[in-house]
Amino acid sequence: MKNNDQHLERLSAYLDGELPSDERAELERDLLQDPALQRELALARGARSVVRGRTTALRTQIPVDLERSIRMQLGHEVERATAPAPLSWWSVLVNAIRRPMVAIPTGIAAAALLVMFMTDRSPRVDLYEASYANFSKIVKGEIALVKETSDTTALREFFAAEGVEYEVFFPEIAAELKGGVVSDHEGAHYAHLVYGAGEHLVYIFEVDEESIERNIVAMRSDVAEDIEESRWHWEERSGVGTMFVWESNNIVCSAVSDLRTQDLSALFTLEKL
Amino acid sequence: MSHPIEQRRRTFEEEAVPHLSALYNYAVRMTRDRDDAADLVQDTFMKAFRFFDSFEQGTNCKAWLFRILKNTYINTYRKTSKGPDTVEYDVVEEFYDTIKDSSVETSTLEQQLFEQALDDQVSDAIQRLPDDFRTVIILCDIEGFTYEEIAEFIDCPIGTVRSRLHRARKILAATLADYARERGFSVDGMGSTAGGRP
Repeated sequence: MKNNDQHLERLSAYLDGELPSDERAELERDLLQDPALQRELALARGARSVVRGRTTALRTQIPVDLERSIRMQLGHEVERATAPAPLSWWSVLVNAIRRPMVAIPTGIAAAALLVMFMTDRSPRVDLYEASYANFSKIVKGEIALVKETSDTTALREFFAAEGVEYEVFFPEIAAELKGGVVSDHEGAHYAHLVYGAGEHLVYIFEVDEESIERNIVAMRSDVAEDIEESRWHWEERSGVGTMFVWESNNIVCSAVSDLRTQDLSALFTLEKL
Repeated sequence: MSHPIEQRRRTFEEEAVPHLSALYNYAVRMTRDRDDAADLVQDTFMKAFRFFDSFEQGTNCKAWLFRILKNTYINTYRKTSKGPDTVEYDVVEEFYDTIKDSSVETSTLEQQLFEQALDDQVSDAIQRLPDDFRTVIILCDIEGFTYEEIAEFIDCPIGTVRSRLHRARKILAATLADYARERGFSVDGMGSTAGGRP
């Protein structure tokens, strides 16, 4: 006779019709001779039947609005997928600035806007607040890209031509480079990059370490501490998104995005920062 | 001509929505909270719709939905602490080894334990099972999945499904025996879950 445990565990499979024929035949032979095994079978049969015979009673009625809610959500998914694609924010901005009635040359207008946001009547630019403010202005369409390109070489040439004296850092990021704009403060010029990640935006403000050491650009103390210790600073601001500050090749990069932290960090090849 | 996604929605509603009740009930059993279960089911349906193109038409949509729900439950909803009224897994193992053979005549046993058990007691007995055991009872005896489908769902060999089902039914029987005793029936030699209650 088979090991008792093996037989016992075959009983449920036997009841459920899941036992191969050879094992079934063997079990049935042993059942004929073993009252204890018969009682075990009765127990298993009873436990099985008591559940199977009451499936209606054992089911909880689904909430009345659950199905309706799911169908509505499916409808929203369809609406989202079939709605005409809105113009990308950068197209709206660039198109607005290119309108003939805008007499001011594009580059000067954009840079002037950026400078206005950064200057706060004090000698220093606050990297932290300027990053959030510039991001907000970009989202609202109040800042446009002066150089629209995904070509990093072309952008480097643009930044150099506009007076940025440091080597701009282009991070490895799973997002599409849309272009850049330059701002100036107290005679120093700074590079700003914009990336698109689907419907989301990543803005990066780059500052050379010299500007920080000379106090032209200030960093909040906790951000500075993080940068000194671990080289990265992450935070989320309600209503805006995520800020990510890091240092690479003596360039402090302050990224702001409407993505959540985990999504933004997933875009970057962090080990190459 | 309708947009492809509208056609996808119609097909999805025809195939998936009929399983809403089964999914909700399983979600209630696992989360032990009806609001959490409703949220879990909604998340499951939205995920399933978004990935509906990956579902192979003609295969078991119910099993596919259950797998999505299970993964969503594990990733999002599973609490680390067990409810106070579940039988602890290791106590179950120990208890299982000590259940004596029944000395009660079979037909009496069936009548006392099973036919006269109240619906709430059966429901409660299922709920008191540890997650792994409760899952196989629900999938096999309530939802009607085959052993192969259950094995795929819980990512275990079919032998494990057999073993868990048998043990789960044994523990169910012992729990119902407790309830029968509480109601005044004399059920000898059936063992008890009393020692296993935390």
